[in-house]
Amino acid sequence: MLMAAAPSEPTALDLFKLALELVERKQLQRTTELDDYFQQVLQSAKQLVTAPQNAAGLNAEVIELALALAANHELASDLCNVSSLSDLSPQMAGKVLREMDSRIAA
Amino acid sequence: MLPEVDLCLLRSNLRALASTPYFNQQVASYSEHLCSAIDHALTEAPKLSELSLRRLSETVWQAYQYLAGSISSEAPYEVQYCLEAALREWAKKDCLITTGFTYGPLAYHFNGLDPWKEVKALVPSFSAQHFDRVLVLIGVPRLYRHKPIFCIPLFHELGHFVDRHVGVVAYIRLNALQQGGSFNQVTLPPLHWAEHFADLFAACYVGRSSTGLLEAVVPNAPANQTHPASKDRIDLVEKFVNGISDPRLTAFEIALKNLGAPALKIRHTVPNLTSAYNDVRPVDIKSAAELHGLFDAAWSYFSVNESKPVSPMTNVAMSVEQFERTVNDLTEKSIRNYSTKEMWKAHAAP
Repeated sequence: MLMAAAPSEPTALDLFKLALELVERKQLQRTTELDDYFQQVLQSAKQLVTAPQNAAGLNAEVIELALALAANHELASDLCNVSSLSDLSPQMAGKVLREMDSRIAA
Repeated sequence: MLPEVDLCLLRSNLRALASTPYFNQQVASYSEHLCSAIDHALTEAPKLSELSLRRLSETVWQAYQYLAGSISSEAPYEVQYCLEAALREWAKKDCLITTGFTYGPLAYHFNGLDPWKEVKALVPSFSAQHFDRVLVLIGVPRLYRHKPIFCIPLFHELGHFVDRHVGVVAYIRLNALQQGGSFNQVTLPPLHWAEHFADLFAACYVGRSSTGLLEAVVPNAPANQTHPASKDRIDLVEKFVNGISDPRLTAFEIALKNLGAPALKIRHTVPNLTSAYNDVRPVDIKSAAELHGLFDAAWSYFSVNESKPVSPMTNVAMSVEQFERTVNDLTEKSIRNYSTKEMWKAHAAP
């Protein structure tokens, strides 16, 4: 907006968070586009955290997730051994979601 | 409302929109793809989770608001033409600019949703996955839809899209974190970075007029959680336009370079329109750079004469309403003449 605040604007990470929400609520259909998307964003973000100079051509959500991982060590630790949605339990997905929300709200 | 019911209603309304003779072909194609996705989702509905269906419904609802504002007879065609020209250099994918209408004063906005990305992920096994178009969702007060100089803030809103599309502000913050938070980058609120980038993106194309409305309406607005102070925004644009260095400009420069994106630089030439507008004639635009610079020139012409408008032809005082209409109509006509000539050239080329 030009001059006023928007209370809940969509962010580049909305879809990534939706995937986590589906796992948390046990509503995820396995082997979906969403899982492929989750894997690609997470893997690229982890690589970007270690080599931020290699950012050319990356999607905005990869950069935003890399920022979240770099800024929140607990989130980074939670996702350290995760590469796909099937690696997440509903409880862990919920925890990751809350970590992401706390970071984004900060 | 149940998501299935809303999806059925949205589908029939999208089909009705797509069948109007005033629909842009690209917008019609997008709407048809949305309808196909809804068809598929409803067929598969028993298999889709309640959350997925609800999210799909919300996504299509949002897309519908902007697609409905993009019927040719309603859309700010001339301004969209200029925005498309600006976006071409920055877009990493096929993008389609759509405008939703708002009804409040200064209610310009950018909506960061990418509807097709969501639809693809939410409706698995949908067969039209090869279709991949990013919808750019920007909002403009309907009152101004045919008032080009009051649509200048749409360049700022397009700047927000480019920031999200390229990841500029997120990258600046990531880079600063990795380097130990040098020169206060992390402590400047991220939304302030985003506003500065949007201002500067707009200034590349429309110069100082990018902050003209701020100066005219809220020159002394203090900083808040989401926006820097107006004075700070105006000062940074002034520095950029005058080639004066600033750590924030340097941060944007480095980020864009590392992201492989185009640089922030002046991309407009201000045409001299005084003589033409004084004669109540459209100005002859000769290049894309002049097309963008027209906004700065028209805004200046309007601002300078707004307080005491006089008809240049008769030297008789005219109402602000007449003056505003004349300047906006001439600007709209100047853009349309240029776009018609360019389309003619494109079709005449062998």
